[in-house]
Amino acid sequence: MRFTKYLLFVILIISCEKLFIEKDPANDPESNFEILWDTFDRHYALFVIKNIDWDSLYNVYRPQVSQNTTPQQLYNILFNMMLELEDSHVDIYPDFDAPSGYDQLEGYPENSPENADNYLSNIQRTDKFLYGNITGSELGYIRIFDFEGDVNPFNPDDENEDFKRIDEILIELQDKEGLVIDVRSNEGGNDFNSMTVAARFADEKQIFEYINWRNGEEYDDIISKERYIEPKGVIIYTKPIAVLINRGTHSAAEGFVDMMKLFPQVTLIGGNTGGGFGGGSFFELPNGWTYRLTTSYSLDAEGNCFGSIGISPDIEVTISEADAANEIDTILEEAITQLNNP
Amino acid sequence: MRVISKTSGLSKIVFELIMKNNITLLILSLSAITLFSQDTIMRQNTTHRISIKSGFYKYSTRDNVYSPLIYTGLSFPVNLEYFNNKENSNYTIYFQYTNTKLSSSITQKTYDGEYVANYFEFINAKLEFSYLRQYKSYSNWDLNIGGSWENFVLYKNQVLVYDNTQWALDVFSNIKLALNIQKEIQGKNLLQFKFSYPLVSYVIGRVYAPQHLPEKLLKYDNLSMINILKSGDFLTINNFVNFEFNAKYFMRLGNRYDLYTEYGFQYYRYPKMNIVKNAMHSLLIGITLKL
Repeated sequence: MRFTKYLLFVILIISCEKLFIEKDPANDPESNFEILWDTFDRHYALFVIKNIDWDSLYNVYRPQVSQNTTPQQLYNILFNMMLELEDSHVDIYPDFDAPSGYDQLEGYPENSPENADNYLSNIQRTDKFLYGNITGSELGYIRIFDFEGDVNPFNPDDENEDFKRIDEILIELQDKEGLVIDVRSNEGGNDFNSMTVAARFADEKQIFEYINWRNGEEYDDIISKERYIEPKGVIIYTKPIAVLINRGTHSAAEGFVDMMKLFPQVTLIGGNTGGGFGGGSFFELPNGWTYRLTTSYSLDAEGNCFGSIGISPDIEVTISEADAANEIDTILEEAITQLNNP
Repeated sequence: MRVISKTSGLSKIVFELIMKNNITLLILSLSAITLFSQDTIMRQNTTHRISIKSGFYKYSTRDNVYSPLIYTGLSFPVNLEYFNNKENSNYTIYFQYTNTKLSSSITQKTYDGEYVANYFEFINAKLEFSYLRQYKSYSNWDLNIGGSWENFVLYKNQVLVYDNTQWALDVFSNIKLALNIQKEIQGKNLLQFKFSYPLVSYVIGRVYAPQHLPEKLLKYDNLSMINILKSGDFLTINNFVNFEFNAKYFMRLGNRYDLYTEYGFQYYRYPKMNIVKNAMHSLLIGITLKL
């Protein structure tokens, strides 16, 4: 009998969990729309910077959703609403094949680095770098494919080994009269890795960005922190450098460009970068779709925000379709000209 | 690590958890108890007991920072407890550790039940010291009142589509008011209920934005452990909810051993930008050795 009472008491307590943690929200089109819209409303960091009236978008898109809306229709509605933000860190992943978000490349010249190898000799590769000599010159070339790779957040001095290999590369190229660093079509990754590479070209410790987080219910509830870049590495390369950029230079790669443009020996050549100056966080919907939105954004050392527009080059060069077809890299050629005539 | 499917049998769950998570710790602990017991001397009026327990934890969590859905999961913990009972007081040192994966209604799985996306990895550890004094005794019932110091760490890593991950920490240290009611049954068994609630808590990792970084850490240039420890907030009874209840039943097996079962429930609300709610049920069975 005592055991029965004891058991009943335990069952009573177990059932109390429902009092503490409420049930999952409904999984229907209207509920999914409301949850997504509300999450953006509470967390999206760029409403003020981009001058977006999120409530008015609700009024446009919410009436399009009903209990009879199909998954494909719901996706189209959410996708179009998110597209209005013109933000490459905003995307949605439904459970069927469909575009995920804003394509920052649309409407911009490709300016691809695909023909750059034609100008190189003694080409070598690592996981993250391609490097070599620029044929017929005293210049070196380094392409960085991406900035993906884990970093121990508890010890920033513990740099990712893949990117620390920049030290070995610079030892090989240290006698070159100038360097081309190609981050065209580099889609980013971890900005600690951008810092690892940029630190090898820094002349002094300085602020390179202010990172801003949305931290409250109001759209202008923002906290800010400055971040520094400082010289680090076996060799600090301070001779002339051309950094090649295009619209595919995105996110952490733009952070890299943001740092490099502070150094006096650096010239940016190519086209505008992708304009993805933010950090995204992922969220879920009751229907199983995942979506991402920008919860932080960066301003450069002078307080400029390059969201959507991207960083403009010092020298704008576009590779024409004819040049691309003839395997000519007009941007790299301009960099060689600039570095040979400082 | 292979992951457990909701459709897996209970025995499969137990087997996999034992084999892959905590078996080493369990064996080491049992060995330690056995070795320790060989050198101990029975004392009068004072009882030293050491217990090892295991069983099931069921976690339920709703972390609205990342998902509107409840995530649940079972784990197979290892708990150790040292208990010193004196004439009018007792103190306890308690340690628990477990790790598991939590799923929701949208968790993507392979055909053999392995989680692919939309799940949480949990690592949970707790170290607690408690001291209670006998306050009142009536018939066979004793009421003990005292305090405890609980140190709690829960690491959560959310795995999403395309191998994206987001992690978060719930870390707190509490000074709790503890209440223990116990009754001796048939002169040999013991039924015990324990409640506790924090009076003052030191809470680390209170993010105000859906990022990994607590706002207070922004003033530091790096995430060293000392900076993380310094970044907490002192919260009082009004703004930190952490309710815990345990019911234990000890059955004497002999002069040196007790077998006991325990049901526990802990619920806390972690004060972030969106309130995080976490509930844990535990159903444990253990052996207690009187030293």
